[in-house]
Amino acid sequence: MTKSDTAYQIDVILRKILAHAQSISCDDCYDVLDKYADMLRAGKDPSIILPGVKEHLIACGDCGDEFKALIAILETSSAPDTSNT
Amino acid sequence: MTERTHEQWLTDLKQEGPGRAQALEDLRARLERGLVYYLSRERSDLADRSADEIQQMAQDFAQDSLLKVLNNLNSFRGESQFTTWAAKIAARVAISELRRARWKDYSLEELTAEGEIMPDHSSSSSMNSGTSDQPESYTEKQDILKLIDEAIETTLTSRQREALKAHAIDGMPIEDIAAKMGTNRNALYKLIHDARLKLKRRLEDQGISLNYLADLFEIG
Repeated sequence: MTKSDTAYQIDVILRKILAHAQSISCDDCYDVLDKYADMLRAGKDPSIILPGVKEHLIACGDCGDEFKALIAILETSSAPDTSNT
Repeated sequence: MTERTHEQWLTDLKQEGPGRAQALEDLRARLERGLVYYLSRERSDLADRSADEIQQMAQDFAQDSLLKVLNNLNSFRGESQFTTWAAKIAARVAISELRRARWKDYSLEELTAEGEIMPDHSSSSSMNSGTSDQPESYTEKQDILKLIDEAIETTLTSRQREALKAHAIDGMPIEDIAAKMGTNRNALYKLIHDARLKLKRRLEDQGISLNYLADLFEIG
């Protein structure tokens, strides 16, 4: 896909807009980011209990960065056992 | 290293006693290890730093994170692992301290003629989707998204809007959209094409080019 592919660009931008429109705020996202990370790392699907987080992380660069950092910092820890949380 | 439940973490950290010193050190070491990994693997802007420098940074950030954890123990809700919650705090500490430090490093020579701050020369942050070199980029994105949203709602006919949303956002197959809207493929393609053009022109009228948008949202 080249940058000059207008149709593709607009479609991708629109998808991000909808993600933005449906998503939660940065504060809400940060608030549950640890729970979201634990679920993912335990192989669970967080999208039912934590709707909007995935979309927000895609649409928001800052929160996406924070999430990537969180996952990297957890890399040296073992995967969570979410049965006691 | 002992694996504590989150109740144990809270107990050990809150109460003065033999357990507290150990818990503090365990947590600090754990965060430091994770931060070393983050700084050396995920931060291309730090690629030119030595291992010692990275270790030192990780140590500093771990210390600051530990303080924040201790100050916020009462806000831990037990919905995640304690160590994950602590790591979340460390993530924010590392990112914000690095951002502050980078701005301090810029010299006048690095300003472009237009007065924009140039990114660090060793940075290949364009590879990291979403890494904001400019603190304004998030607010910039917010403003642009509002404009695009408004453009979609006010510039397009309702059929154009419906067609464009179904195709570009919902990813509905063309045949399905055509059937739903009571039209044929050709007419639908024209509807979508016209909608895109209108949007593009509306944004360009406001001084927003597609290239600018593509860069801002790191597309293509």
